[in-house]
Amino acid sequence: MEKRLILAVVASSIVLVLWQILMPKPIQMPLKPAESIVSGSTTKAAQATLSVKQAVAEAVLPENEVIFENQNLKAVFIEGQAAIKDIVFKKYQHYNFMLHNGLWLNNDIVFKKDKLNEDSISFVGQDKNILIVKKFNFNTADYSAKLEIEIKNISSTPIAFSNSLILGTLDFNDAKTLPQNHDFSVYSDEKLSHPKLNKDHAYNQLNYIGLRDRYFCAILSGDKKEYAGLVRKINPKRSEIGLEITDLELLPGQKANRYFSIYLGPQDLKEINAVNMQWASIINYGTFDIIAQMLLKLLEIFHKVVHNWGIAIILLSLAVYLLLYPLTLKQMRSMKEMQILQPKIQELQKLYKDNPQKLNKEIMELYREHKVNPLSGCLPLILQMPIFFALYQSLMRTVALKGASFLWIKDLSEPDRLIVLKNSLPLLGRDINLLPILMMIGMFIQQKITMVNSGSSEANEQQKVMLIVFPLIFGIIFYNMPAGLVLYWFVNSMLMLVAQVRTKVSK
Amino acid sequence: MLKSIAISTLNTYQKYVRIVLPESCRFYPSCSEYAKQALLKYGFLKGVVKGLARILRCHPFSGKSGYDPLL
Repeated sequence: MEKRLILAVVASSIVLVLWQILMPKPIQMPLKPAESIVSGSTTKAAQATLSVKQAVAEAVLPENEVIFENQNLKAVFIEGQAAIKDIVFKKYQHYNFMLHNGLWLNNDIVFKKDKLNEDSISFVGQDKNILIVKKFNFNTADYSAKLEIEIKNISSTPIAFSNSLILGTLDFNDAKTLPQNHDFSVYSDEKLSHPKLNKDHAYNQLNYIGLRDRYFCAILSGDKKEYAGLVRKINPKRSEIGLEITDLELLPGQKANRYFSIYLGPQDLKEINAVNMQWASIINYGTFDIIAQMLLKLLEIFHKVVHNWGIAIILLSLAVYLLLYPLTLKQMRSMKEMQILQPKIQELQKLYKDNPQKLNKEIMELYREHKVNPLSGCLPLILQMPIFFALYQSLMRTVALKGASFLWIKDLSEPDRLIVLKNSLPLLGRDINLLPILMMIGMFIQQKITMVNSGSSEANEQQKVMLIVFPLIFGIIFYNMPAGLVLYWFVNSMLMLVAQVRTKVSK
Repeated sequence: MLKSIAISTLNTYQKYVRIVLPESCRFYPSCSEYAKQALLKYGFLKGVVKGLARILRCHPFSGKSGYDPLL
């Protein structure tokens, strides 16, 4: 036993260490000026000296970044590309949503900022054949925007213009970007798909394309025209999504305009529905999407009543428990009937004292005869699994929990961080999270209660090891998860514990 | 091939996963044991069907419980 215990502790410590290594840590990226796109060695050299001088004066803003700001957001543009690098959402704790090259016309024309107003920003760029004006109009009432692209032939011969307009790039080189939270969405041919990033894709009859991270999303669709969509793999860790502007025939001096509708904001049903109902399909919680959406609706209703997301989560946990209550109730009734059988069971226990397997079989036979059973069965357990997965996805992703505080928890979408240490501890890091620790203790007690004497000493020993290892593994998995999610599980395991204590007592 | 994968999955489940879950099966032998026997006796396809049918019986409203061997 002791040997096994030591082994278990060692094994779980290894898991703990590995977890710390594998889990992405928030890394403070050093502020580095983006690569200059201006070609020509003289300008480059001149710029280099200029940027050195400027670096002292305004180190905050690299020279080729332009910022557009309104009450909702701050969009950081790369001036030379007239593309959005990232967006900071002011009403969501200044959350930073990365697009890398959002709404970039995939060519090497260099743009310059033209006009900057309180609700729009425009860029102009040209080469020897064409002149392009890109104008972004941001709506202040919601998270929608319009993009107008004007293309003019300034050469003396007719030209055919075709280009792709990139919505954005997913880049997993950054340790903060967790692949499971990021994806592309393509709504084409009347159906929604999430293209795999390991190869290129092309789509016809495009309705919209989208890109999202854990909480926010970008959506792009063409106005008055149909476009073809594309997903391009740049390298194994980088993919971009966009649409094709094709076959634009322009005579000398002729110009053409293309209009696009954009959404840049939270994955919040209300916000997206206010702009375009169809775009709401970008919000999706994986395999058990329907259950997840229902659970979130329920959570919202609770929040409307109590005005606190923490209490709403506790109520949700209670509600799911009550939903499964008919099963518990049935089990309780069965318990009562069981008591009638108790003398017979005791008789059997005396008879098969030395043969636990035979005893088990005989007891089961007795249950079958009397059509009772203290256990609810395997099917209810399996039916609960989809709810588990749906809950995980929805509580992980819902933007509503961002910045919601409860008791000592500052933000339900982050680990609870009861104490943040000055120096990082080995294994645990700098944060001391109370909720996962409470959950571990709860699980340990719950298991201790349900532990049954299974006869053989080997099985008993294994159970004892598991008694420590399993709460530990669960604790490690949940340690850095959002507090809202851990809160749900904690309440859930407390309810289970109470139910088990009750059945134990009635036995 | 498929059969042995299914059986080893069930073995892993019995060894590591079942211990944390609350004791739940209404039958003897348990659903996982039953499924293992069915896989060995009938092969992958029929074994899986038999195992699933057993799980579908294993709930408090079925009125069945206790000794239920593979036939």
